[in-house]
Amino acid sequence: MVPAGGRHVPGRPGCGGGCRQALLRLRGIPWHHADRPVGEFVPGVRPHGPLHGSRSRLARALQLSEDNKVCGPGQLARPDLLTSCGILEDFPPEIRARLIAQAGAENVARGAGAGAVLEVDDTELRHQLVEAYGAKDLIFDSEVFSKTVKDDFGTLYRVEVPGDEDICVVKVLNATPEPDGTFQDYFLRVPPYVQTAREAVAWTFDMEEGYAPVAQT
Amino acid sequence: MKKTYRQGDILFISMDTPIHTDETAAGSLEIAQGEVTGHAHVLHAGAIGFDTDREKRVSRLDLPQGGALRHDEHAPIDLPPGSYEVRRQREYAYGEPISADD
Repeated sequence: MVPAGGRHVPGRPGCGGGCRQALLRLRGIPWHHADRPVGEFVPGVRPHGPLHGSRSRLARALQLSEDNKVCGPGQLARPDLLTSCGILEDFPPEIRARLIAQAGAENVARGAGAGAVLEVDDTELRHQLVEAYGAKDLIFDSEVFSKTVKDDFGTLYRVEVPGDEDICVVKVLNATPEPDGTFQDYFLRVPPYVQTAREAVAWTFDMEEGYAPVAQT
Repeated sequence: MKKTYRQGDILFISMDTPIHTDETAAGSLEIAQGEVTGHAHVLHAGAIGFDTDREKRVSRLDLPQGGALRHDEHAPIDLPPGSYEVRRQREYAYGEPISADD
C-alpha cells in the first residue's frame, strides 16, 4: 500500500510487503523505543531554520514510516528499512544523520540492500550509503552492472546511476600465484570516465597513458 | 615510453635522468608497509638514495647499482641501475582519490 503523500517506486524492494518481509527477517534485533513527542525523539538534535517546516517534514516522514510498518507510534524508525522503502530521505537531514549514526552506515546500507541504495534519490545520502556498502559489493549484489570490458589488464565493471556518475570497479589478478597455484583477484574503484581495464589500472597509479610494466608480481 | 615495474600496489617508473636525493641508505630500505596485511615492500641494494614526500613516504629512488625488491606475498623484482619515481596505488571515491591498502 502506498501511503498518502508517499512515493511509489516501481520495483523498489521493501514497499508494502517487502518491508514486512524485511521486518520479519530482522525480528529479534533490539531496536529503540521512545514515547516522546514528535520532534524530540532524537536526543540532542535541535532543528535549524524554521521550526514549523522541520516539524512538518519530520511528522510527515514519521507518518510515512508508520504507514510502511517500519516503526510504530512512539518508536524510532529503522533507517535500513526506511531506506528500503525509499523514505529515509524524507526525514530532515539532521534526524537522518542521527539515525544512520546510531545504526551504523554500513548496517543501514547492507540492511536496505544494494538495489535500494542505488535508488535513493538524495545524492548525498546515496553517496554515503554507496561508500558504506562498498562499490564492489554493491555492483555484484545489485546484479545490475550494465557493461563489462575485459582486456589483458583486468575487467572493468560499470553501473549506470540515473542522474549521477557511474560506479566503476576494475578487477585485476594478482600477478603472483598463491601457494596452491591459483591467482587471487582484487577490486579497485575507479573514476566513471575510464573506459577500459587498462585505463582503469593506469589511473590507479596516476598514469594517463603508457601503462605497460616490464615486470609485475 | 618510460619503463615501469610493479610489485603489488607499488609502481616504480624509471626516470630519464639521474636525480639528486636528500637521504641515503645502505643495505635495505622499507618502501611501503601494507596497512592491512602488515607485509612490507623492502628494497635491497648496495647504495640507495631516496627522497620522501610530505607524508614521509619514499617518493623517489636513485639506485646506482640497481636493487632487488622483495615482499612476502609477491615475487621479487630486480630493478636495473637508475633513478625511479615511486607511486602507490590509489582508489577512487566520490570527490577525491584515496590510497589502496595492500
